[in-house]
Amino acid sequence: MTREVLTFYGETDGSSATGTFELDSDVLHSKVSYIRPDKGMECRIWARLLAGAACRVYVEQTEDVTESSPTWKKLGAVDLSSAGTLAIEDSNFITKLYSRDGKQAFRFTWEQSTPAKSFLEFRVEFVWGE
Amino acid sequence: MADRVLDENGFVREGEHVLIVFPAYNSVLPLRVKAVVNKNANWWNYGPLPYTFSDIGVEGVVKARSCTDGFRFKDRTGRLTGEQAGDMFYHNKPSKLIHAYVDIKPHLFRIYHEIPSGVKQYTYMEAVTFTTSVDEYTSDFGYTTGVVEMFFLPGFHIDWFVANWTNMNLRTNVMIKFAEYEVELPTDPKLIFNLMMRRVPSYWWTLPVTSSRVEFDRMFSDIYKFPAEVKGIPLYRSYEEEKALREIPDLIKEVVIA
Repeated sequence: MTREVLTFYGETDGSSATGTFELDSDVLHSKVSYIRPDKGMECRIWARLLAGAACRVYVEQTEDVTESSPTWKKLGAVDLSSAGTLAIEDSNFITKLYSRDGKQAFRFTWEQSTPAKSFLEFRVEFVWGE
Repeated sequence: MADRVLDENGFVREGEHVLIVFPAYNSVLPLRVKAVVNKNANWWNYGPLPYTFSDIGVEGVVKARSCTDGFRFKDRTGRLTGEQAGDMFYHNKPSKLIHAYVDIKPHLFRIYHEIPSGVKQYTYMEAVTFTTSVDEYTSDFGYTTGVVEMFFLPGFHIDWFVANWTNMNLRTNVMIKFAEYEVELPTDPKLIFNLMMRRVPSYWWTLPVTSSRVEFDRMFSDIYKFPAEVKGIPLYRSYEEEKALREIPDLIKEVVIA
Protein backbone atom coordinates (compact mmCIF):
# COMPACT_ATOMS: atom_id res chain seq x y z
CA MET A 1 0.00 0.00 0.00
CA THR A 2 1.28 3.43 -0.95
CA ARG A 3 0.37 6.66 0.79
CA GLU A 4 1.01 10.33 0.31
CA VAL A 5 -0.08 13.28 2.42
CA LEU A 6 -0.33 16.70 0.79
CA THR A 7 -1.40 20.00 2.28
CA PHE A 8 -3.44 22.34 0.11
CA TYR A 9 -4.10 26.04 0.53
CA GLY A 10 -6.75 28.33 -0.89
CA GLU A 11 -8.23 31.76 -0.31
CA THR A 12 -11.41 33.59 -1.13
CA ASP A 13 -11.08 36.42 -3.63
CA GLY A 14 -12.31 39.01 -1.13
CA SER A 15 -15.01 40.35 -3.42
CA SER A 16 -17.38 37.48 -4.26
CA ALA A 17 -20.03 36.10 -1.93
CA THR A 18 -19.59 32.63 -3.39
CA GLY A 19 -16.83 30.92 -5.29
CA THR A 20 -14.58 27.93 -5.71
CA PHE A 21 -11.18 27.83 -4.05
CA GLU A 22 -8.15 27.76 -6.32
CA LEU A 23 -5.91 25.28 -4.55
CA ASP A 24 -2.16 25.45 -4.20
CA SER A 25 0.44 23.23 -2.58
CA ASP A 26 4.21 22.94 -2.38
CA VAL A 27 4.13 20.13 -4.96
CA LEU A 28 1.80 21.87 -7.39
CA HIS A 29 3.31 23.62 -10.38
CA SER A 30 0.01 25.40 -11.07
CA LYS A 31 -3.17 25.85 -9.09
CA VAL A 32 -6.23 23.64 -9.51
CA SER A 33 -9.88 24.27 -8.77
CA TYR A 34 -10.61 20.64 -7.94
CA ILE A 35 -8.72 17.43 -7.18
CA ARG A 36 -9.18 14.42 -9.39
CA PRO A 37 -7.34 11.41 -7.99
CA ASP A 38 -6.23 8.39 -10.00
CA LYS A 39 -8.56 5.44 -10.27
CA GLY A 40 -8.35 3.31 -7.17
CA MET A 41 -7.09 6.07 -4.94
CA GLU A 42 -8.82 6.94 -1.73
CA CYS A 43 -8.59 10.51 -0.49
CA ARG A 44 -8.90 11.17 3.21
CA ILE A 45 -9.20 14.72 4.40
CA TRP A 46 -7.56 14.80 7.81
CA ALA A 47 -7.65 18.39 8.98
CA ARG A 48 -8.99 21.76 8.04
CA LEU A 49 -7.99 25.23 9.03
CA LEU A 50 -10.06 28.30 8.27
CA ALA A 51 -8.79 31.77 9.04
CA GLY A 52 -9.76 35.35 8.28
CA ALA A 53 -13.26 36.69 7.72
CA ALA A 54 -16.41 34.76 8.51
CA CYS A 55 -16.94 32.09 5.89
CA ARG A 56 -18.76 28.85 5.22
CA VAL A 57 -16.76 26.26 3.30
CA TYR A 58 -18.37 23.31 1.52
CA VAL A 59 -16.74 20.07 0.42
CA GLU A 60 -18.27 19.06 -2.91
CA GLN A 61 -17.88 15.93 -4.93
CA THR A 62 -18.74 14.96 -8.47
CA GLU A 63 -19.15 11.52 -9.94
CA ASP A 64 -17.90 12.57 -13.36
CA VAL A 65 -15.65 15.55 -13.75
CA THR A 66 -15.21 14.85 -17.47
CA GLU A 67 -18.77 16.00 -18.22
CA SER A 68 -19.03 19.44 -19.76
CA SER A 69 -21.03 20.63 -16.72
CA PRO A 70 -20.27 18.30 -13.84
CA THR A 71 -22.85 17.94 -11.10
CA TRP A 72 -21.31 18.85 -7.76
CA LYS A 73 -22.84 17.42 -4.63
CA LYS A 74 -22.27 19.04 -1.25
CA LEU A 75 -20.86 16.54 1.23
CA GLY A 76 -20.29 18.74 4.23
CA ALA A 77 -19.59 22.21 5.47
CA VAL A 78 -17.42 24.04 7.95
CA ASP A 79 -18.36 27.42 9.40
CA LEU A 80 -16.08 30.15 10.58
CA SER A 81 -18.89 32.12 12.20
CA SER A 82 -16.88 35.26 12.94
CA ALA A 83 -13.48 36.61 12.00
CA GLY A 84 -10.71 34.52 13.52
CA THR A 85 -9.33 31.02 13.17
CA LEU A 86 -11.05 27.66 13.18
CA ALA A 87 -8.91 24.53 13.34
CA ILE A 88 -10.46 21.11 12.97
CA GLU A 89 -8.22 18.18 13.62
CA ASP A 90 -9.30 14.75 14.62
CA SER A 91 -7.76 11.39 15.26
CA ASN A 92 -9.93 10.13 12.45
CA PHE A 93 -10.27 11.59 8.99
CA ILE A 94 -13.07 14.04 8.37
CA THR A 95 -14.12 13.11 4.84
CA LYS A 96 -13.28 10.14 2.64
CA LEU A 97 -13.61 10.00 -1.13
CA TYR A 98 -12.89 7.03 -3.34
CA SER A 99 -12.14 7.15 -7.04
CA ARG A 100 -13.98 4.23 -8.56
CA ASP A 101 -13.29 4.85 -12.23
CA GLY A 102 -10.96 7.83 -12.27
CA LYS A 103 -13.71 10.36 -12.98
CA GLN A 104 -14.56 11.34 -9.42
CA ALA A 105 -13.27 14.66 -8.11
CA PHE A 106 -13.76 16.98 -5.17
CA ARG A 107 -13.44 20.68 -4.55
CA PHE A 108 -14.01 23.32 -1.91
CA THR A 109 -16.39 26.24 -2.34
CA TRP A 110 -17.17 29.22 -0.13
CA GLU A 111 -20.14 31.27 0.91
CA GLN A 112 -19.84 34.64 2.66
CA SER A 113 -22.53 37.12 3.67
CA THR A 114 -19.93 39.91 3.52
CA PRO A 115 -17.20 39.14 1.00
CA ALA A 116 -13.74 39.43 2.54
CA LYS A 117 -10.51 37.47 2.60
CA SER A 118 -10.61 34.03 4.20
CA PHE A 119 -7.97 31.38 4.02
CA LEU A 120 -8.39 27.61 3.83
CA GLU A 121 -5.84 24.93 4.56
CA PHE A 122 -6.51 21.21 4.51
CA ARG A 123 -4.53 18.01 4.52
CA VAL A 124 -5.31 15.11 2.20
CA GLU A 125 -3.98 11.61 2.49
CA PHE A 126 -3.95 9.80 -0.85
CA VAL A 127 -4.02 6.04 -0.39
CA TRP A 128 -3.51 3.43 -3.08
CA GLY A 129 -4.92 -0.04 -2.78
CA GLU A 130 -6.60 -0.21 0.57
CA MET B 1 12.58 -6.28 6.94
CA ALA B 2 15.96 -7.21 8.38
CA ASP B 3 16.77 -10.89 8.54
CA ARG B 4 19.79 -13.10 8.06
CA VAL B 5 20.12 -12.15 4.39
CA LEU B 6 18.88 -8.55 4.28
CA ASP B 7 19.95 -5.71 6.50
CA GLU B 8 17.61 -3.10 7.98
CA ASN B 9 17.76 -1.06 4.75
CA GLY B 10 16.71 -3.97 2.58
CA PHE B 11 20.17 -4.67 1.20
CA VAL B 12 21.92 -8.02 1.01
CA ARG B 13 24.41 -8.44 3.80
CA GLU B 14 28.04 -9.05 2.97
CA GLY B 15 28.71 -12.76 2.62
CA GLU B 16 25.09 -13.58 1.76
CA HIS B 17 23.66 -14.55 -1.62
CA VAL B 18 21.26 -12.98 -4.05
CA LEU B 19 19.53 -15.08 -6.68
CA ILE B 20 18.45 -13.18 -9.77
CA VAL B 21 15.68 -15.08 -11.53
CA PHE B 22 15.09 -14.75 -15.28
CA PRO B 23 11.57 -15.98 -16.10
CA ALA B 24 12.21 -15.59 -19.82
CA TYR B 25 14.98 -18.19 -19.63
CA ASN B 26 13.79 -20.24 -16.65
CA SER B 27 17.23 -19.64 -15.22
CA VAL B 28 18.96 -17.99 -12.30
CA LEU B 29 22.13 -16.12 -11.59
CA PRO B 30 23.33 -16.84 -8.05
CA LEU B 31 25.72 -14.25 -6.70
CA ARG B 32 27.53 -13.91 -3.42
CA VAL B 33 27.93 -10.38 -2.11
CA LYS B 34 31.59 -10.05 -1.22
CA ALA B 35 31.41 -6.41 -0.22
CA VAL B 36 29.09 -3.43 -0.17
CA VAL B 37 31.21 -0.61 -1.51
CA ASN B 38 29.06 2.22 -0.18
CA LYS B 39 28.26 0.64 3.15
CA ASN B 40 26.41 2.99 5.54
CA ALA B 41 26.22 5.70 2.87
CA ASN B 42 23.42 4.56 0.67
CA TRP B 43 21.01 7.50 0.65
CA TRP B 44 21.05 9.78 -2.32
CA ASN B 45 18.80 12.76 -2.95
CA TYR B 46 18.74 12.70 -6.73
CA GLY B 47 16.63 15.85 -7.13
CA PRO B 48 13.72 16.34 -9.54
CA LEU B 49 12.71 13.61 -11.93
CA PRO B 50 15.05 13.89 -14.94
CA TYR B 51 12.33 14.65 -17.46
CA THR B 52 10.88 17.88 -18.83
CA PHE B 53 7.53 18.24 -20.56
CA SER B 54 8.12 20.68 -23.39
CA ASP B 55 4.94 22.66 -22.75
CA ILE B 56 5.76 23.08 -19.06
CA GLY B 57 9.47 23.63 -19.43
CA VAL B 58 10.42 22.82 -15.84
CA GLU B 59 12.45 19.71 -15.14
CA GLY B 60 10.73 17.30 -12.81
CA VAL B 61 7.17 18.55 -13.20
CA VAL B 62 4.95 15.71 -14.31
CA LYS B 63 2.08 17.12 -16.28
CA ALA B 64 -1.50 16.35 -15.28
CA ARG B 65 -3.20 13.49 -17.14
CA SER B 66 0.05 12.64 -18.92
CA CYS B 67 2.85 10.14 -19.03
CA THR B 68 6.50 10.86 -19.61
CA ASP B 69 8.39 9.28 -22.45
CA GLY B 70 11.01 6.76 -21.38
CA PHE B 71 13.78 8.39 -19.37
CA ARG B 72 16.88 7.33 -17.48
CA PHE B 73 18.54 8.66 -14.38
CA LYS B 74 21.21 10.84 -15.96
CA ASP B 75 24.40 11.69 -14.10
CA ARG B 76 24.10 14.98 -12.25
CA THR B 77 27.68 15.02 -10.96
CA GLY B 78 29.30 15.55 -14.35
CA ARG B 79 31.90 12.96 -13.44
CA LEU B 80 30.53 10.00 -15.33
CA THR B 81 31.26 9.58 -19.00
CA GLY B 82 30.05 7.52 -21.93
CA GLU B 83 26.81 5.65 -21.47
CA GLN B 84 26.84 6.39 -17.74
CA ALA B 85 26.47 10.10 -18.40
CA GLY B 86 22.92 9.51 -19.55
CA ASP B 87 22.19 6.59 -17.25
CA MET B 88 23.94 6.52 -13.89
CA PHE B 89 22.86 2.95 -13.27
CA TYR B 90 24.35 1.60 -16.48
CA HIS B 91 27.54 -0.45 -16.15
CA ASN B 92 29.21 -3.37 -17.83
CA LYS B 93 31.22 -4.87 -15.03
CA PRO B 94 30.42 -8.50 -14.27
CA SER B 95 31.63 -8.17 -10.69
CA LYS B 96 29.28 -5.26 -9.95
CA LEU B 97 25.63 -5.36 -9.05
CA ILE B 98 23.61 -2.31 -8.06
CA HIS B 99 20.60 -2.82 -5.83
CA ALA B 100 18.40 0.25 -5.56
CA TYR B 101 15.15 1.48 -4.05
CA VAL B 102 13.87 4.42 -6.08
CA ASP B 103 11.38 6.66 -4.34
CA ILE B 104 9.65 9.13 -6.68
CA LYS B 105 7.69 11.65 -4.60
CA PRO B 106 4.86 12.47 -4.29
CA HIS B 107 3.49 8.94 -4.32
CA LEU B 108 0.73 9.72 -6.78
CA PHE B 109 2.25 8.21 -9.90
CA ARG B 110 2.02 5.03 -11.88
CA ILE B 111 5.54 3.88 -12.65
CA TYR B 112 6.37 1.65 -15.61
CA HIS B 113 9.60 0.19 -17.01
CA GLU B 114 11.02 -1.00 -20.25
CA ILE B 115 13.52 -3.76 -19.51
CA PRO B 116 15.68 -3.53 -21.51
CA SER B 117 15.13 -0.10 -23.01
CA GLY B 118 12.56 -0.18 -25.80
CA VAL B 119 10.93 -3.43 -24.68
CA LYS B 120 7.56 -3.44 -23.01
CA GLN B 121 7.44 -6.78 -21.27
CA TYR B 122 4.20 -8.67 -20.98
CA THR B 123 2.35 -7.75 -17.85
CA TYR B 124 -0.59 -10.11 -18.12
CA MET B 125 -0.93 -13.55 -19.67
CA GLU B 126 1.55 -12.98 -22.50
CA ALA B 127 -0.95 -10.68 -24.18
CA VAL B 128 -0.97 -7.35 -22.39
CA THR B 129 1.89 -4.91 -22.19
CA PHE B 130 1.76 -1.58 -20.48
CA THR B 131 0.49 1.44 -22.33
CA THR B 132 1.03 5.08 -21.54
CA SER B 133 -2.22 6.27 -23.08
CA VAL B 134 -4.34 8.52 -20.88
CA ASP B 135 -6.95 5.93 -20.12
CA GLU B 136 -7.57 4.44 -16.71
CA TYR B 137 -8.38 1.01 -18.06
CA THR B 138 -5.89 0.30 -20.85
CA SER B 139 -3.06 1.56 -18.67
CA ASP B 140 -3.98 -0.62 -15.71
CA PHE B 141 -1.37 -3.33 -16.14
CA GLY B 142 2.31 -3.32 -15.38
CA TYR B 143 2.65 -0.34 -13.10
CA THR B 144 3.94 0.02 -9.60
CA THR B 145 3.43 2.80 -7.09
CA GLY B 146 5.60 4.15 -4.34
CA VAL B 147 9.13 2.90 -3.82
CA VAL B 148 10.45 0.75 -6.68
CA GLU B 149 13.09 -1.88 -6.03
CA MET B 150 15.43 -2.58 -8.92
CA PHE B 151 18.64 -4.49 -9.58
CA PHE B 152 20.88 -3.07 -12.27
CA LEU B 153 22.68 -5.81 -14.12
CA PRO B 154 25.47 -5.12 -16.59
CA GLY B 155 25.12 -4.32 -20.24
CA PHE B 156 21.64 -2.91 -20.76
CA HIS B 157 19.59 0.17 -20.00
CA ILE B 158 16.26 0.34 -18.23
CA ASP B 159 13.82 3.05 -19.27
CA TRP B 160 11.45 4.55 -16.74
CA PHE B 161 8.00 6.01 -17.40
CA VAL B 162 6.01 8.02 -14.88
CA ALA B 163 2.29 8.57 -15.40
CA ASN B 164 0.24 11.16 -13.58
CA TRP B 165 -3.47 10.47 -13.97
CA THR B 166 -4.47 13.17 -11.49
CA ASN B 167 -5.44 16.65 -12.70
CA MET B 168 -2.47 18.29 -10.95
CA ASN B 169 0.84 19.30 -12.52
CA LEU B 170 3.10 17.81 -9.86
CA ARG B 171 6.63 18.74 -8.86
CA THR B 172 8.76 15.72 -8.03
CA ASN B 173 11.71 14.75 -5.95
CA VAL B 174 13.56 11.46 -6.25
CA MET B 175 15.22 9.81 -3.28
CA ILE B 176 17.31 6.75 -4.02
CA LYS B 177 18.93 4.38 -1.63
CA PHE B 178 21.26 1.95 -3.23
CA ALA B 179 23.96 -0.58 -2.54
CA GLU B 180 26.87 -1.15 -4.86
CA TYR B 181 27.78 -4.79 -4.44
CA GLU B 182 31.03 -6.50 -5.32
CA VAL B 183 29.81 -9.96 -6.27
CA GLU B 184 31.15 -13.37 -7.22
CA LEU B 185 29.58 -16.47 -8.64
CA PRO B 186 29.69 -19.41 -6.22
CA THR B 187 31.58 -22.27 -7.82
CA ASP B 188 30.33 -25.11 -5.66
CA PRO B 189 27.51 -26.81 -7.64
CA LYS B 190 26.05 -28.25 -4.45
CA LEU B 191 25.76 -24.76 -2.97
CA ILE B 192 24.17 -23.43 -6.17
CA PHE B 193 21.62 -26.25 -6.17
CA ASN B 194 20.88 -25.69 -2.48
CA LEU B 195 20.34 -21.99 -3.14
CA MET B 196 17.81 -22.92 -5.82
CA MET B 197 16.07 -25.30 -3.46
CA ARG B 198 16.04 -22.64 -0.74
CA ARG B 199 17.99 -24.94 1.53
CA VAL B 200 20.51 -22.13 1.84
CA PRO B 201 18.98 -18.70 2.53
CA SER B 202 19.32 -16.11 -0.19
CA TYR B 203 17.48 -13.09 -1.50
CA TRP B 204 15.39 -14.06 -4.51
CA TRP B 205 14.64 -11.31 -6.94
CA THR B 206 12.85 -11.86 -10.22
CA LEU B 207 13.80 -9.60 -13.08
CA PRO B 208 10.39 -8.78 -14.57
CA VAL B 209 11.16 -9.99 -18.07
CA THR B 210 9.03 -12.52 -19.86
CA SER B 211 10.59 -12.49 -23.31
CA SER B 212 14.15 -13.28 -24.27
CA ARG B 213 16.12 -10.40 -25.70
CA VAL B 214 19.45 -10.02 -27.43
CA GLU B 215 20.57 -7.65 -24.65
CA PHE B 216 20.25 -10.44 -22.09
CA ASP B 217 21.90 -12.91 -24.46
CA ARG B 218 24.84 -10.54 -24.74
CA MET B 219 24.98 -10.06 -20.99
CA PHE B 220 25.27 -13.80 -20.41
CA SER B 221 27.74 -14.52 -23.21
CA ASP B 222 29.82 -11.35 -23.60
CA ILE B 223 29.91 -9.99 -20.05
CA TYR B 224 29.50 -13.01 -17.80
CA LYS B 225 31.13 -15.39 -20.33
CA PHE B 226 28.63 -18.18 -20.12
CA PRO B 227 29.02 -20.64 -23.03
CA ALA B 228 27.07 -19.74 -26.15
CA GLU B 229 23.40 -20.68 -25.85
CA VAL B 230 23.62 -20.84 -22.05
CA LYS B 231 21.52 -18.14 -20.45
CA GLY B 232 22.25 -18.46 -16.78
CA ILE B 233 21.95 -21.58 -14.70
CA PRO B 234 18.77 -23.56 -15.34
CA LEU B 235 16.29 -23.51 -12.50
CA TYR B 236 16.54 -27.23 -11.77
CA ARG B 237 13.69 -29.14 -10.24
CA SER B 238 14.05 -30.66 -6.81
CA TYR B 239 14.53 -34.18 -8.21
CA GLU B 240 17.26 -33.07 -10.62
CA GLU B 241 20.06 -32.77 -8.09
CA GLU B 242 22.26 -35.34 -9.76
CA LYS B 243 21.81 -33.70 -13.14
CA ALA B 244 22.51 -30.27 -11.64
CA LEU B 245 25.69 -31.37 -9.93
CA ARG B 246 26.85 -32.92 -13.21
CA GLU B 247 25.98 -29.98 -15.46
CA ILE B 248 26.71 -26.87 -13.39
CA PRO B 249 30.54 -27.17 -13.41
CA ASP B 250 30.51 -27.13 -17.22
CA LEU B 251 28.08 -24.25 -17.37
CA ILE B 252 30.15 -21.99 -15.14
CA LYS B 253 33.71 -22.99 -15.94
CA GLU B 254 34.31 -19.98 -18.18
CA VAL B 255 32.19 -17.53 -16.23
CA VAL B 256 33.95 -14.41 -15.05
CA ILE B 257 32.24 -13.03 -11.95
CA ALA B 258 34.82 -12.58 -9.24
